[in-house]
Amino acid sequence: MARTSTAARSTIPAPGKIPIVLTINGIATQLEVAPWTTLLDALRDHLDLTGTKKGCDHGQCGACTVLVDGRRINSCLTLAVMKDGAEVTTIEGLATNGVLHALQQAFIDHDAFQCGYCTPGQICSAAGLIAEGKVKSEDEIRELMSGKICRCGAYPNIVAAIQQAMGQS
Amino acid sequence: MINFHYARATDVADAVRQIAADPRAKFIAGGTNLIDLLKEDVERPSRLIDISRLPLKSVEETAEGGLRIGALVPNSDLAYHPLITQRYPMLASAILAGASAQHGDDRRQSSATHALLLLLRHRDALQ
Repeated sequence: MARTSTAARSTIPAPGKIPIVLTINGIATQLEVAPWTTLLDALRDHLDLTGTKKGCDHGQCGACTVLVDGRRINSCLTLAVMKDGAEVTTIEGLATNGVLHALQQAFIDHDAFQCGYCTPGQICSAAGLIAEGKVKSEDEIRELMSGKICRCGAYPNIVAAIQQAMGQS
Repeated sequence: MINFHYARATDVADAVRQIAADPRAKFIAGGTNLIDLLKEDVERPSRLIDISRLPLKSVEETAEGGLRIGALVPNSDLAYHPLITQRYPMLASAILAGASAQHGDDRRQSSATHALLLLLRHRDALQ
């Protein structure tokens, strides 16, 4: 297996980096990434935007959720080169002029986290959920926030925080 | 993840030409399945051909009374599409249930082709 793997690698010339432009939290940003660089790694390792967290790195925990052109996605399952030209909003881009986003304040008000590792993904996902405008009930919040794992089990508080923010939006 | 080349298809004909030119190339659309398999070393393509910007994102009624679903329609758009919710509510439920079980947000970034199995199950259930 290892021999096959090495042989396969040797037949592929090392691809060069690709220049891309991402508008991140409102700022057009040029960077050069390898084709296999995920959007998550580009944010964290190339741009030092470490608010977005790497949890499972397989699209199952939701910690890496960001908004791309307004839609919430798992940045660990997206290649940065595929998003060339896109607008990306991370947790760092939600507050305006030092004033917390309604969701950030609501998460504080409702103790919607303990360790906080999943929180940036929870909040970005909730921002996308509110923008989608499909949620009417508490059950629908739970359903449409599925795939966001909170190892501390703060789910009731997360739902309460989202309900508070929805009431303000 | 292994190294690979990346190219963006300019149109459908270009996508076909590029995949035909490299037997170890793969298409990438939403990426939620393929990128995971790349990380697990299951898929080892020499080149990814990005088809995500091709104009295959519409849901249209056909003359025969059916629907033609573009291969790049995101699952969430499909599940909430008026024609799907009105005529195929079980399909809408299946897409939402299937995506949340494993991948959470993937339903918003993965494409309708990902839901092909659900479509087939839906058809079988109706027969």
